[in-house]
Amino acid sequence: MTPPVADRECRSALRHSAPSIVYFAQGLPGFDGLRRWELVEREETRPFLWLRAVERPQVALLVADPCDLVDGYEPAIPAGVWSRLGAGSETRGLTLVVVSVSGAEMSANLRAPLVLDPQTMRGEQVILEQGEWPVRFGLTPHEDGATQPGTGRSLACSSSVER
Amino acid sequence: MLVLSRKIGQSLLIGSDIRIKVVEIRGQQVRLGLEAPDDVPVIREELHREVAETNGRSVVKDGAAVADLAARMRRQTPKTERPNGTEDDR
Repeated sequence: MTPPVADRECRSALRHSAPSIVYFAQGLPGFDGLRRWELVEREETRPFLWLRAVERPQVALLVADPCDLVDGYEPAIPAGVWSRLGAGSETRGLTLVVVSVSGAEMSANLRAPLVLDPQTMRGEQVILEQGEWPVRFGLTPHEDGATQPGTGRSLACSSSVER
Repeated sequence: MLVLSRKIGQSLLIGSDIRIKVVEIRGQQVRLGLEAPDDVPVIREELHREVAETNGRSVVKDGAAVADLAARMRRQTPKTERPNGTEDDR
């Protein structure tokens, strides 16, 4: 299966923006004061990425490209986000979602995506006031690896969002 | 906390560019209209709290379990195979 173009673009943008330290000027809700987070990709935990607090490395979150998890995820990012990120008019933002693991259960927070500007390496966790995206979107993979509804691929991948 | 009384249709200004207007009162519910600059996020407090709690719960405690779950995800999502020669593990 051919990967959607947008997915390739956002992944390569991440790889080429070393060092991958993202500055969250407003911090992340629940982690007041932690503004610099490093994006780390590890072979053994693909398709997930790690977001690790630079000032407190024991605090690490699992994040993922939503295109790897859910069909048709197209969050409406308020215009003000782009001005806060210092994004230029040509910017294609990147979207990641925070993944929670509890035992063998996994969920992704589609309600509050992380929006990054790969040029400025600034980011914000955008809480979507409008819309129906859930805070806990179940991702639990099957033991046998079978594809289940809700984790299918999306050809209209939207993790790379147009400004 | 500053407490003020307002009637339907009346507003409050916070600074010079944030306006909160009482639009409707229905039983126990008050509908508010908000005008704020683009760069001021307006979010219901309970939603912010829920996201903060979810973030806190998402701090990874068991990296080995993650590797196992990730392997299962890879088996069901062949798309995530990456091109050769672009590894960037740190």
